[in-house]
Amino acid sequence: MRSVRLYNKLLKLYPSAYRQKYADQMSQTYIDMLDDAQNSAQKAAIMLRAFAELPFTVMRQQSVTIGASMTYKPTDTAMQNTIAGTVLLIPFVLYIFVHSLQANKALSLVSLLVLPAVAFLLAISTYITEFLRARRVQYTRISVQFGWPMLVLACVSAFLLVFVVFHDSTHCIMGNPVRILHNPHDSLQCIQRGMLGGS
Amino acid sequence: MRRATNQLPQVAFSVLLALSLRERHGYEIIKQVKEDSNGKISLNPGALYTSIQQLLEQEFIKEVRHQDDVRRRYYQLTKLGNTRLAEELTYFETTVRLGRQRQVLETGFYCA
Repeated sequence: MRSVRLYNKLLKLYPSAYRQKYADQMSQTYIDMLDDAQNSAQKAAIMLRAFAELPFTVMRQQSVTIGASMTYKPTDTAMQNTIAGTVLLIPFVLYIFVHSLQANKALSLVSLLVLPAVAFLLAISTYITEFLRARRVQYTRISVQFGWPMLVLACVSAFLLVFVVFHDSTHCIMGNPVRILHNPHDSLQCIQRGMLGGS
Repeated sequence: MRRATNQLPQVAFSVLLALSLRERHGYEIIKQVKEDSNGKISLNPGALYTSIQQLLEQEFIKEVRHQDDVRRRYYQLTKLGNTRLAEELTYFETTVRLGRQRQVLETGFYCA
């Protein structure tokens, strides 16, 4: 029947997860309703109601799916990785404020480069894993808010890495606490050069 | 009037009531709901299966397969669903009793 074919085509507007579970039953129920109709007028009324209802239920299901993806709860492992990554950045902060730590070169390297790099890799790999998991499980649309703690950690650790790696060119403007210029004259010239974009 | 958040939506309640007698498939639920409501509630497949999805997630109903009817999926009330339905009916019973006490049901308006 033509209306059944059209109804089946319109069922494709539902989110894929919902469609996989219920589309065949929705179609069968629609067929049962039409088969039970006594006359053409009843059939027409059934078709009209079923098709009129579709936009609303489709929108509802689509918004439920989108809403679910926005409130997607990361796994415990992902949250633990995010917390672990954040903890790895603590030595960097300590290094800046505790001057006695700055004398040790090995500690400098680990605090300023190694740990932030590990934190960055951990955050990015966790985010990608969660993203792939969310796609595989159900959610067809992933919003920007998804996995935001991991993204924040990745951005912060990336910023710290860039800050440290390029500190020879940014330290004047950013007031790099890692590299201290003892000579005020040098400091002033450095800042002026940095602001004017000179070498 | 919007119900309190812990009360079942109208459609969900009607579906549970329809399943209280025996397990049914989609179209049978629609027919029973219409009969139970004296024709006031006419469900369509979209609304029905949206409600079924929620009831399955809440474990108020479960799916059962019939070997002699493979094209259709049947749904059955669970113990939890039965309890939930009983709670809703108790609420309505209390509400109706209040209505009778206040003579709202007989007269159609409130008498102080």
